[in-house]
Amino acid sequence: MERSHIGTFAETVIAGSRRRFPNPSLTTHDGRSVRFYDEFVRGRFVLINFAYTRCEGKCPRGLSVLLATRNLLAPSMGCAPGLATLTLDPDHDSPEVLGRYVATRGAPAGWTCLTGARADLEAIRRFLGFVDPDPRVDADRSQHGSLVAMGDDVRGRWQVASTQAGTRPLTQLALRTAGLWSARSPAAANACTSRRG
Amino acid sequence: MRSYKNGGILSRRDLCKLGIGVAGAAAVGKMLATRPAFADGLPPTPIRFTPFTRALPMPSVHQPVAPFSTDCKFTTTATPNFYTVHMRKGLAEIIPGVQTGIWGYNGQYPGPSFSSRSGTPDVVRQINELDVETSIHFHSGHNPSASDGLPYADLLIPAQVPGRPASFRDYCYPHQSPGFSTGEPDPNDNETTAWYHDHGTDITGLNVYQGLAGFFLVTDDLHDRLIASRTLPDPAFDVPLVLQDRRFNADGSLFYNPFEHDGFLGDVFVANGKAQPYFRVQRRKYRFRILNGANARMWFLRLSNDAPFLRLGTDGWLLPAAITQNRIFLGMAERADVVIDFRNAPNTVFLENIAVQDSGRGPAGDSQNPDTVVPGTPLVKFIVEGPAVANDATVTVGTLLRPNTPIEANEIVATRQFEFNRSEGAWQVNGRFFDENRVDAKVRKGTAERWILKNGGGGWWHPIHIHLEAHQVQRFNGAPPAPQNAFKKDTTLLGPGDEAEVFMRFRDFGDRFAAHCHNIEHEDMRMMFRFDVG
Repeated sequence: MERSHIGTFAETVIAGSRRRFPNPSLTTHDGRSVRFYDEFVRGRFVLINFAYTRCEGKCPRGLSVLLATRNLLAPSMGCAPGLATLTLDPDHDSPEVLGRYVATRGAPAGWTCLTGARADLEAIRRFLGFVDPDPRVDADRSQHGSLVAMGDDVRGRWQVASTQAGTRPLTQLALRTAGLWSARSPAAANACTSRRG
Repeated sequence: MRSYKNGGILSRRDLCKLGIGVAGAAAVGKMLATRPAFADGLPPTPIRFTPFTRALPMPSVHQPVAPFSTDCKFTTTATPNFYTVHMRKGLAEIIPGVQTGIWGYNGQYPGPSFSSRSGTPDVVRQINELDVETSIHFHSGHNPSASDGLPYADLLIPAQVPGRPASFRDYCYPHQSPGFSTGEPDPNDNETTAWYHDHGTDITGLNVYQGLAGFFLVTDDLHDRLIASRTLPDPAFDVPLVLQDRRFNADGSLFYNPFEHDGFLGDVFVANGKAQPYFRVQRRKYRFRILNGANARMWFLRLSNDAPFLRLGTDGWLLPAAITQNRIFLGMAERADVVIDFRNAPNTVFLENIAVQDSGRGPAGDSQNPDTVVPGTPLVKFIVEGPAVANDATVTVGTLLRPNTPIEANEIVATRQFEFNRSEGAWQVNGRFFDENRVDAKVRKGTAERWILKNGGGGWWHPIHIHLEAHQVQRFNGAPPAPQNAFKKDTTLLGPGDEAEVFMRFRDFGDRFAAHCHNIEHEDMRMMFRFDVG
């Protein structure tokens, strides 16, 4: 499917329908300015979650599950798939703060923390449905630190789950999302790099 | 009660209530693109059509094939019927004049119906020619774990290598009365109006939405006698009717949003795979097996002439006696087996939905007193023709149908509580997400238990489906259940704050089974638990 930029959105296909995926400019924990969809989603398999460095409990636990899930996926995918963690607290989480946060976890390759304009981060959060219909609940950012979206942009398949489900269920779900149902599945060594431009 | 007022600027939803449909609104259609219909903010279906220009289709019926080699084993000596079903892509005209790609059993939407008989086993070979994993659940069936169509076990994975045959699985349906394994078969628990649908792990919502669902109708001696005696309408006047909602892209393809975790709603109302069809009927009694086959939409059904429904059954089972209902509320996966008497009907009658629902959270109001809009959205237009027929079916209020064998309190060996709640944007049971490797309840085969099904709050609605057997609702919010829910159910709808006490037997089959919310997006985000019988 042909994809093209439309302003801060990128056209893609999700569950068989053309969608406009938010593609704002964000800043990585190492200070790079990137377009979100182009850098992390386009043509790849990716894990996306939200967190913030001042979050205690659920965010660190969720990240631990996701980092462990990446490691479990590596043998099947040929690599540890990308994990993009977007901050829910952009006023505090500068690139420098995020950089230190990543360093405390050993800065594993393929894990990127991102900050940016609040409206841009919100656009991605809402697109992925990390939203509560109750405005009071939705305003509590700690409510959004447990979900993970996993998607294969080439296949157009996306799933969302709670990191509380645990490493093994998330790993199984990620493999199905990527089309890796069995040993007969086509080699997925390209899952971590763009398979389609 | 909220009344509908036709004034001011019409929203797309208002137009639907007038029976104009999306397409019929052509004259004011420019409003449509700028008036999102639902709280999700997604664009409404941009295709316009005139409703009631297509006839209500009847699902085709699966035909048996020559026996094939299978691993299915049955304890009965009856000769099984064999079927092969190909899950494949197909095209369907859902909106008049528009071809829509679907995933269907034999490429059809809705899937062909099974017409089976208690006592005669079925062997159904399901062949997955799609590029998504599937599992086929026999909803209301009493089947071995391996043929139940669990959401996690033995998924039918797509063919992985070009040229290799598609993966298949033989589902073995014994159609034996519950209790058969201990020499106490109870035909009172024979199901009548079942259905089959996809149950693939975490992807059931998409798979069912794309079309993987159909009826599984079962008859037995008692049911045959009710028809042969003209108590119930002849099969020629027995109509399976699945109600669903769908949303479309401009090119006619189905639109589905995997990021709508609260429950995905469509804005086009579909009956038997056709958007707002008409159905020509004689002036006589018709039986309708109404199934709520939607992912997250609940229907509150009413006839436009205010005629009552004669309720014959709930979910998979006939009631002990027919009752009358002016309106019928159906949660997802629930069924209503009804008779509509057209003998004195006007020339046009609409089946309407009077529920008010703008999001996957559920309808406005509560389960005891839902908000309504009257007149509602017309779903099916009945065109009533000819004089009243003679010698019509005799069923009426109080007609005896199928006796119920109550589960007695002294049979109960254990009580468990299951609370269904939202947690940080996802869905849990008893504070935990479904894990196929974790046994949440271990039940002793041949016993009965009391289960408390509790809505965890937040204003959400959860229809709770329990596999393996019917359950019997004892109390609903501390009071006796409504008459239509007082006998056998397989899906009990919990509105905000609701709590149901149910009794359930666990007979004949061991191993693993599941229970879950049938708001399919909730189910896909793991509002489910595993129970093992052994």
